[in-house]
Order: sequence, then structure tokens, then C-alpha cells
Amino acid sequence: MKTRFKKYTIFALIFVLSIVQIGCGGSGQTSEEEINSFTVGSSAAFDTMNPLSSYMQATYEFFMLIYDPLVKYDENYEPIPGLAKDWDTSEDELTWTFNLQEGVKWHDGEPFTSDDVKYTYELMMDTGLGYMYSSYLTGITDIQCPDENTVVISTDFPKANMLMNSTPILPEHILSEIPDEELEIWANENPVGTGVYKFDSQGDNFVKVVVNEDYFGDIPEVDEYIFVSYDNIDSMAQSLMLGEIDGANNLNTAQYNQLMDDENVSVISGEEKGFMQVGVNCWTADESGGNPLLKEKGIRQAIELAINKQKIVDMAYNGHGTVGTTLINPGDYFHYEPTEAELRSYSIDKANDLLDSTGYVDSNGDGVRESSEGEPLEFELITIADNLEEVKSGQMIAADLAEVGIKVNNVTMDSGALYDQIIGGTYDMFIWGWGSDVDPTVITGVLTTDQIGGNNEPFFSNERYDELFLLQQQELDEEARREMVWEMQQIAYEEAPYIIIIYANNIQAIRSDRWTGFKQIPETGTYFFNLTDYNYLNIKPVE
Amino acid sequence: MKWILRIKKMKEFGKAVAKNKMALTGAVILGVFILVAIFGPILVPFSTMEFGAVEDMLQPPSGKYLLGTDDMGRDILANLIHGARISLLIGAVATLISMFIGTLVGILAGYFGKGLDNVLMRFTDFFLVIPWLPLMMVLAAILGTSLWNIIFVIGITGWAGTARVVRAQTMSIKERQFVERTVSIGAGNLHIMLRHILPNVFPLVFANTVLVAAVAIVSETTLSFLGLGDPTMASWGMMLHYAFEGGATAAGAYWYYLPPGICVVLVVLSFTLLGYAFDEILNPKLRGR
Amino acid sequence: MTRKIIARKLLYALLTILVVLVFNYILFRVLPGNPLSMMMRNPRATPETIAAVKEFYGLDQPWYLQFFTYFKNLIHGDLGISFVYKAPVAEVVAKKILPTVLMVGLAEIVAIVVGIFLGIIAAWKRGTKLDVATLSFSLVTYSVPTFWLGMILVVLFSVQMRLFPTSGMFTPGKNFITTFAMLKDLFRHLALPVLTMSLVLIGQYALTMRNTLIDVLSEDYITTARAKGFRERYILKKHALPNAMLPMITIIAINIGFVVAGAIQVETIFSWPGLGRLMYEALRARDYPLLQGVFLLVTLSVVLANVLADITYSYIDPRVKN
Repeated sequence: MKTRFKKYTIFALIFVLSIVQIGCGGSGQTSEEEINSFTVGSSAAFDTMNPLSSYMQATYEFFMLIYDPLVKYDENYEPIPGLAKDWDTSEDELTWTFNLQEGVKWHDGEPFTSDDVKYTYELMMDTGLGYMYSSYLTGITDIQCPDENTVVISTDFPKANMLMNSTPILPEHILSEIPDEELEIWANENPVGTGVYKFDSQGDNFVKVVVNEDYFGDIPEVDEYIFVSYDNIDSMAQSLMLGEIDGANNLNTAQYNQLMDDENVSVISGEEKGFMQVGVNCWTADESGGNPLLKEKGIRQAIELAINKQKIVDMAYNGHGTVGTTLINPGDYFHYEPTEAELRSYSIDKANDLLDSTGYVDSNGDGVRESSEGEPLEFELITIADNLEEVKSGQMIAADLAEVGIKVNNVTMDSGALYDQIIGGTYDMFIWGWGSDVDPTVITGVLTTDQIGGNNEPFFSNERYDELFLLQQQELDEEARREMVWEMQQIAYEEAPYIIIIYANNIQAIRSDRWTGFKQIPETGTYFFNLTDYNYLNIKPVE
Repeated sequence: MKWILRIKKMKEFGKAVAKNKMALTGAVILGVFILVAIFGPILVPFSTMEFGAVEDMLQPPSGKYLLGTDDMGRDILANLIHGARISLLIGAVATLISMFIGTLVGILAGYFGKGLDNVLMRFTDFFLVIPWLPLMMVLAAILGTSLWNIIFVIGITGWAGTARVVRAQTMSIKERQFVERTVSIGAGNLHIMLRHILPNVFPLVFANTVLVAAVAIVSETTLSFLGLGDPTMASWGMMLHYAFEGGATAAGAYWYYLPPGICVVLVVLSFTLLGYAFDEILNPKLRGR
Repeated sequence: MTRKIIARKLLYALLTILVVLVFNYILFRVLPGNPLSMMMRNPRATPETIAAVKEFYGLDQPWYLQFFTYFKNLIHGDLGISFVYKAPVAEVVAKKILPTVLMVGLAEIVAIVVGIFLGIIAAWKRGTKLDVATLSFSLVTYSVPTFWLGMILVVLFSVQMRLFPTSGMFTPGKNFITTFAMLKDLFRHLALPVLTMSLVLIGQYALTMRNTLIDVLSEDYITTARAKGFRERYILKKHALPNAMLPMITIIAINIGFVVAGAIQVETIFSWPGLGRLMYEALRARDYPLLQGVFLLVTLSVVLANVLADITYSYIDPRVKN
């Protein structure tokens, strides 16, 4: 009996020890000192620690802290020094000289030099890796390093977005060790950057960074940030209320209302760059698998007229957002507001008139309009199954369009399956969103002919649009550039490959009983996930 | 003559059910839900394609809406009634598929024995031990989310238990003399299986049905909840999916997340009660003193 | 039991495993969509990169070669490389076993102890209000969908009372100064998943225990023992219970298959970092190799548990030997 007991104790001991091991999976740090630790919860998942192949916004958030670009944004999206302490451009605006900060060290102690900048940029330009960043590198023809602290970049046209280039500078001494063909699938288990925070540890659903005491700039007050991804937003909200986490991103409306009553929490519904759109298959080629009727601009416009966007904003998004029109958000310097004549606001009458005049009538009395050849206006609308707002929007759109004699069949699938349909051009319509950034290049670039088979989901092609896209990249005069970007948005709105439904807000919250010093960026924007590190550097514990 | 005997047996069985309190409770609950599923949608017009007004969103129960409204301003009671039809339809058809496959495999294996039996039983073993939810999830993901796919997935995964029981019963019936006698007369296999074996395994199949039906209803709810249901069909599982995804728990909208769950529990409970009672009736030791 | 029977049982188990393997392989080849595009949502990927990645994951071979490779690798314990984690599947899966075993194991222990206890009371006090109450409780919990019960418990204990956290195994990223602090954190996180899981299991155990016990209590030898004038408690303890435990063992073993299903729901709701959630995630991300790996592990463990139960059962139960 006694030996038996011993056996069980040993088993129990092993069990407990193995759990202890899991628990200490991180740094195993056991300092008694009080540390300022801030945990950010987000419903978005992280993909990979490799900046060359990552495409999830959630991951960019801590890349921003671990790695530095040459130039960063301040809270007003104005360029401020990053690894470059200052910069200058030549008379003809084709050559840029960046003077780098001195004495900067990588987190592993190796010195940072201008060669790292050259290496990173060239790597991305040569391989096309670093998907989110590489579009900022177009136009660069040559990179020179006259000395350790100077980088000279030549371009073949005046590059309008040179100072909006947030490409993280990566360590040459580490990346050059990796064979080229493995760069994309490289795990980067222990990221080494120059940033104000160092990578510390990574768990099943979190990434932890700790402050870099050797940083060349100011040292922030928060000692460590922990980024946690939740797969259930209710759990995230509950963790926030229990005090397990300090900030939360992507909350929903029910939680917004509940958190408004919680005096420990500061909750906001912040405007965010990006939109949710109905993408319409406009592919004119024979191999297009979409309904050919959608190639007609009139039908796309009629669809837009018949959608009650305000009701979608109110019901599917509970009022957290504004009705959408053009590619760039209102409030942005580059936003184009359609004129009264151009605007297609919700009107069943106008939609009916447009359809009547283009010859689509319900000739057999089944409630669905047909073309003169008897082809019914019946389309499939794909939504991503786990995005509740979009699924709801899709159902509301189907109900709206039924009013004007257009039949919509709602189909849901996962994002991967939808992506396959988009790439293959086999869909009729889908609902998805785009997040955008400060410079208009990436978001307007989506609809260029070059991007067909890539980001150009609707297979949209317009010569004037493509021409303007190239011109605006080369225009350093802000107002002249804006004119061009405006015209592009005007074309995109008129042609309606994307029916932009809503500029949705992002609901975020911070434990204001513990933290202070944070603010919305810009004034009506968000706390986190807004392309700046302002709040991360300025949050302070409440005394 | 045979038929009269069978009807007599059925009557006896019916009487036993009526005497058994659990069976009676189960039968009554199930009966009510079946009536609601059949006649409810005729009496209460409702479409998930229609959305309520903005001011009707997520309203608590009131005189206008007895069970309140959901986050799209729709009447929850009406949704529940229409959901009954969809949930019970999925349960019923999936159960039928299961029963059909199970009976077929069971009779074939039991009747022919030997090699066929071995092959079929290994196959049955596989379906018996394979964890049902992962299998269903994978199948649902492959086939896509539509009502008939869900029915098919549930039906195709739930038959193994029935096959086992039917096989055993078939083997024992086959041993009985009357089958041997018919074989010597020269009756075909199909004839024997249809005329002699099937009628005799039928009561057993029937008793098994309630158990399979309970699992089918729970399966539908679970698959829908996990996001693998048909989003255009407002089954109870889909209602719960939307309720939780939309944050009904955080919003304290008990009128939204409780009723569909309670309905599922009641229907499954009624099947469980019936199954439990059948067990008691068939196993005399469990009968009351 | 003769060796022959054991050998036959093992052979059957092996056959089932073989069916599982083939089935597993076929199933995951017909999943919709191209895994490549899911893996690298990268419009800018060059054809060379795509080819390299395809080769890396063995997707460039014809299906029959992939099938052959699959078996060859399996024998070496190589389950392929996860698309999402970009790490060997065996490694990813191995990390998730302990959390699931811990959560499910605890829930099983709680459920077995409470279930048996309730079953005994119900059978012993048969026909009384206590019996009816136990029976009703068991039947209701047996009928409740696991995920719904979990959500109700979340509303009660987290939203209303703010007692327990609702996700994860530990507070993420926290540094624990003492082992005790860590265990406390662990148990706080364990509370709701274990409660949900065990509540779902208790009903079935209580029902089975009650019925077998009633069955046993009406056996002749019990009547004989009663006639001999043994005290009821003694009869229950020495005669009835040991015999009633046999069916319980089978039920518990068979239940392992069900527990997996329950674990998927509980782990999904409570974001518990175990096999169930891993499987759900792998399914959503269409991470075939990972999904295949978890599915294989889960099915194999259930098959093996059943064989073990079968063999144990035949050793304990004298009737099976004859």
C-alpha cells in the first residue's frame, strides 16, 4: 500500500512539474520588482514573425515596436525621424540623402549601419517579399552607402511617397545567413531589430516585447507589452473587465454598450482607414466565371442605388461607422466626395428607372427582372462565414435588391475559399474589406490593371485610371497630386467595380483606472492599430 | 394473422408507454414540438430575409414581441417557431438516412455473414469509434454549408450503432427455424430479408431511432454553432450562433440566447426520455416495483 | 480469455486503424480550395516561390505518390509540416496534448466520482424524491448541448459574478513569481472548462450507475444475501458495487470518443490551448497536414482506448471468459 502511494505521488509530481514548465514557457523571469506590463488583446490572429512574409495587421503592430523604419509617423501622420535623424532631397527631386542615427545597435549587440538599409530595400525589391512594404519601394533605382551613417537613394521619378515608407529595416547579418529560397518560410523565432522594444517571448496566443534600455531615443515608461490574440471577442471583453488585459482591439457593439457603463474602462468607437465593399466581377475576358450581366456599368450602379447603406450601418454595424462612397476615407486629405449629381444615394425609384431604361424588365412576372434575351438578374453574393457584420450586410443587401427585382443568393465560405474564387474570377459578387494606410498609393493601386490576378479583385481595368496612378506617384506637389487621386476615385466611383458600403469604426478600450497618457489618433481615430507607435511610447501607469 | 399479432404487440407497447411517466412526458413534449413545426409556420408568417426596423433591434420581451427581438430586429418567437421546422426536419431526415444505412448494413452483414460480414463490420467499427464531431466538422467543411449537406453529414455518421444491433438480431432470426424452412423451400435471399428479417428487426430499429434522433438534433446545433451550418436557414443552432457571435451574452440579452437552447434541450430531452423509457419497458428488471 | 481472442481483437483494431489512415488521407485530399493560396495570401508571390513552396510541402507530386509518401513518412513519425505554424505537425500536436489531458482528465475524475455517487444514491433510494431529482438532473444535463452550457456558465460566473476568466490556460505573458501563484492562475482558468465538461459527463455516468446497480440488486445472489440477513450497506459495498462497476468501465472507455467531441466545444469556447481547439483552428485555416495529424491522433487514441477497455473488461468479467 505504501509503495503504491509513493508511485502516485511521483506521478502527480511529474504532472505538476510538466505544467509548471508550460507556465514558465516564457522568459522565466522572476524578478520581485514591480514592472509596468501592458497587455493588448485583439481578435485578429498573428500570422508569422517574419516581416518578409507577414500580411496580418495584428503582426505589424509589434513589428512596429521591434523594428524601426527610416522615417516614422507622429500622431498627425507627419514624418518624424526613425533610423534616419534627418534627410534631404536634390534639386531635381530624384536623389534622397538620409543621415542615420549614430551608435545604433541591433538587439543582439551588433552595430547597425547603412548597409542594413541597402540590404533590406534591395532584398524586398529583388524578391517581392515584404508584401505590405515593397509597394513603397517602386521607383527606386539605386541605393548607395557613402559611409556607415549615410544612405543615398536615387529614383527614376520624383517619388511622392518617399517619406511615407514605413518599411522596417532588417538585420543583414542575420538574413544573409538564410538561403534565398527559404526567406519566405523563415520562422524568425527570435526577431532582432533596432526598435524601442525587444522581442522577449512568444506563446500559443501571445507575443511579448520588453523595453530596449539601449535605445537611441527616449525610453518609454511601459516596461513590456504583451499582444494577445483572442479567438472569441466576448472572452476578450471579459478579460478586460477582469483586469487580465489592459487594452482591447476590435470589440463589438454589445461590448461597447456594456463597457460604456464600466468606470474603469475608457472605450471608444474610432474611425479607421479602410472600408467594407461589395466587389463585383467586371472581368471582360472569356474565361471570366462571373455573371456576364455584371460587366454592364448600369447594373452595378443600379445595385448601388438599391442598397440601403445607412440601414446596414445602423443594423449590421450598430451605427459604428459612416456610409461609404469612394476609395479613401472622409477626413483624409485625399478623400474625394462625389458631387450631388454623381452621388448614388439610396433610392429604389432611381434604381428601378435605371434598370427600366437599360431594358431589364420582369417579363415573366416572377419578381426577377430579365434581359431582352431572358437572362434573369440573379447573382451570387459570397460573404466570409465568420465575419458576422459582413454576413448580416449580405443578407440585408439581398433583401434590398429583391425590392428592385434583382435576385441575390447569399453564400458563405471561409476567407481562403473566397480568395480562391477571387483569384479564379469565378464569383459574381463578394463582400470583403480593405484596410489602408496613410499614403494613397496602396489603396488606389488595388484597382490598377497591373494588379489583376493580385489585389485587383473585381478584374477592373481603366486606362485613364492606370495613367493617373503612375502620375500621382511622381507628383511631389501635394495639391496637384490630390487632384489626380481625386480623379481616380471619381472614375472608380462612376464605374463601380467596388460598391463601398461603410467606413467602419474600430471599437477599442483601455483600462483607464490603471493607465493614462493615451489619445485617439487622429482626433476621431483609434488608440492602437493606427500605424503609429505614439500611444505605445506615451502610455504611463496611473500614480 | 401475422399482422394482427404485430398490431397487438404494438398496442401492448403503446400501453406500456402510456403507463410509463417518462415515456409519456417525452411523447407529449415531442408531440407539441412536432405540431408547432408543422402548423406554426403556417400561422406565424416570418422570413429571416426580412429585417425589422432599427428601433426594434435587440428589444427585451414586451407585449408587442412576447420573446423580444434579435439584433436584426426580428421577432424571436416567430424565428423560434420557424426554427423548429428546420431543426426537426434536419433531425428527422438525418435520422432516416442513419436508420436506412444502419439497417441495410446490419441485415446484409448478419444475413450473409463470413467475408461480407467481416468487411462491413470493420467499416462499422470505424464509424463506431471515430469521434463524431471531428468527423462531421471535416465533412461539413468539405461539402460546404448547406441544409442538405448538413443533413447528409449527420446522417452518414450516425448509423454504426444501429448496424451493430440489427446485425446481432438478424443473426439470431436467421438461426430460427422458419427462415431455414423458407430457404429449403427455395425462397430468394432478397425475399427472406424483406419479408422475414426486416419486419422482425423493425421494433429494434424503432427503439434505436430515438437515440439517433437525439444525437442528430444536438449535432445540428453544434455544427451550426461552430459556424458550419447553413446561414440562410434559421435553425435553432443558427440562432444560437448569431446570438453568441453578436455578443448577446455580453449584452445581457437572455431572451435571445436562452430560448433556442431551451428548445434544443427540451427536444433532446424528450428523445432521451423516450429512449430511457423504451429501455425500461424492454428490460423488465428496471420496471418499477 | 485465450490469446486467440486477444490476437483477434488486436487484429481488428489494426484493421480499423488502417481504415482510419486511408480514410484520413482521402478525406483531406478532397477538401475544397487550394491550400497554397490559404497558406500564402500573397498576390505578389512569383511562380518560382509558389513552385518552391509546393515542393517544400510535397504538393507538386501526383496524388498516388503523395499517398505513398504519406505512408512512408507516417512510419517514421513524420506527419508533415503545418501550413500555419510552419513547424512539424508532430511538434505542434505534442505541445497540445498535456493541456487537453489535464482539462479532460480532471473533468472525467470529477464526473466519475460525482456520477457514481449520484447513481448509487438514486438506485438505493429508488422511487423516492431523491431518485427523481437525480434522474431529472442527469437527463437534463445529458441533453444539454455542451457549448450552450459553457456559455450559460460564462454568463453566470464571468459576466455576472466576475469570478473566473473565460479564456486560455494562464494569464497571457504573465511572469509568475512563485509556483503557487502559477498554479492558482492555472486553476482559475481551469474552473469553467472543467465544470462545463464534467456537468455534461455526470448525467450519463449517474444514469448508467443507477441502472446497472438496480440490475445487480435484483440478481439472485443479492436476494440470497438479503435473506441471509446481511446489512443493506454491507450488501451494497461487498456485492452490488463491485459488480455494477463493470459496465461503468465500458461506458467510460466508450466515452473517450465523446469526450473528444466535448473537448472541441469546450476548448473552442474557453480558448483552451488543447487538441480540440487546435483541430478547430486547423479546420478554419485549412491547414491540412495539421488537421490530418490531430484527427489521426484523436482517432487512434479512441481506437486504442476501446481495445484496452475490451481486453480489461474480458479479464475482469468472468462471464466473458466463458
